[in-house]
Amino acid sequence: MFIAIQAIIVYLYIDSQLDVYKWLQVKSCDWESYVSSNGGYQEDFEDLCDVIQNGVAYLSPDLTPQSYYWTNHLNSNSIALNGDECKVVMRVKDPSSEGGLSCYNTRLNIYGQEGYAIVACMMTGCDYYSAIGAGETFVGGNNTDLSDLGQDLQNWHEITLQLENNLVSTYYDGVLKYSLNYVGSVGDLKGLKISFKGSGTIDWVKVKDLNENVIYLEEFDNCICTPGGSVADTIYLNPGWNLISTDVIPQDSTIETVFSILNSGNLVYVSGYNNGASFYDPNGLPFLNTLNDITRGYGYWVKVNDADTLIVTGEPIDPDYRIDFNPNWRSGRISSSDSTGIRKIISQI
Amino acid sequence: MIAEGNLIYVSGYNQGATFFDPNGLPFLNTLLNMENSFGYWVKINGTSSMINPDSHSDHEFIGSNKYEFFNGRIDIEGVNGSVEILREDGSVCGEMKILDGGYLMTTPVYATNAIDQIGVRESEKLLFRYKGEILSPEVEFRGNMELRKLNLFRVTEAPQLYCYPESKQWKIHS
Repeated sequence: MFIAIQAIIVYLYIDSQLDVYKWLQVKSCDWESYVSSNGGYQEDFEDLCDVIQNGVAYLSPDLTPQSYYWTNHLNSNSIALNGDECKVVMRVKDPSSEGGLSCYNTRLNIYGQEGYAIVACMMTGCDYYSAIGAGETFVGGNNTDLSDLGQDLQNWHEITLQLENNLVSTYYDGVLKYSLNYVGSVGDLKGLKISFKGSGTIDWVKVKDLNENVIYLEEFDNCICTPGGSVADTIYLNPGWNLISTDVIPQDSTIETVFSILNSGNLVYVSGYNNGASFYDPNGLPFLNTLNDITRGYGYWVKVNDADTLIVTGEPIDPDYRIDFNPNWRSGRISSSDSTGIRKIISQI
Repeated sequence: MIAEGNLIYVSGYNQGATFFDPNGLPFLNTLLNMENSFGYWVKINGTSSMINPDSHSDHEFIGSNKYEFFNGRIDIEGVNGSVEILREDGSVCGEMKILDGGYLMTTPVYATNAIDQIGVRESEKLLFRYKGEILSPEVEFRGNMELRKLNLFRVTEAPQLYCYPESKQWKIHS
């Protein structure tokens, strides 16, 4: 059951008698932001380019006539991960100077096929309104001491909601604040929602598996809606040279941007090969670089000083996409998301 | 592609090189599966020559999956055109376009490999020539994919060194 705003209910009547009804997920195109308030008040989705600016998502008070309101940021796309074994991390702030209201009430909802999980963090002293839970187990500050969920979000902080072994936990800047055993389940991930009382700001959201692999990353760098949503490709880099590829088309394919996520000063060189070798030196004179963009379908040598993680976000490459193989050597990628026998892959080239 | 006999080799790299030879003994292959997020070198039949698009050169070079990059500066007044990179036998194996300010555009030099037996040998001396004049210094080819930053100058401007050809082998005496 998917119970977000982007869910619709289909009823089946037989001889005027309700026989069954089902919740259906209506996928969004990346993120959707809207204002809500008391009494079921809800505004239309905002123009995403009014919300996503300067690398963050922020629904300004100027965009609504309401003086008492919540802002909501919703992604109703499936994420290939079991919601009962996941970790969602968001970097947020909601200072009063930028529209934070009342007890601020910063919420993270994880929606799954079978249920949902939530953490609601209030400003210190407002824990009466705090909440946490998953599946069929939820507690609120009105019946449980949730004073540990009182957070100061006047500046950037990271809030984590983690589900593992039927234990739902929340962390504040990596420090465990509260854990709760829950019954029931969340199921396969179907969406995320982040809400603020008043206006708050999101820098990024990461969805990870329990091995810290990033399955989904949203950095709010682009307001252009990509049908099917963006995906993240996580590439682990060993010290020294690595021969990598990705099945994602980055929104900005310049080498400088794609590798900007690596630790500062860690990238040494990138080399490509397409009918000849090309080269990128992040510390050299820019006009001497012959490799300036990532081209879909090609492999790249990447040299780093220390182990690092490269995350490429964007639109997935069409599985039917093929690169032309010229005679001689070619550095390329494969189109499978899993490990696949080399004879099978080569036979498809 | 395997059926057509077009594939020669596939090579991967994950903390060490792996290899797949479709025509070899299967149990000698160390690359058995291709994994997402990794790149692979694929060698198919035929050879292709390439022209460095930045050099405006007529020279064609045979590529391989082993190479080294060169760039840097040439310390000579009023230079233009390009600097040729020569092998020990005097053949041209690369060319660097001269940019404003005497900067030398990045260019690869390709190593020989076990398959083609063409290209520059590891440890082979490389020389640099500008309008027929051999420059200093010479370098030793490594073929390690790294960048070598050069600062080329006229031999006459470094009187302690001079170069001369001898049986197609260039040597430097001090």
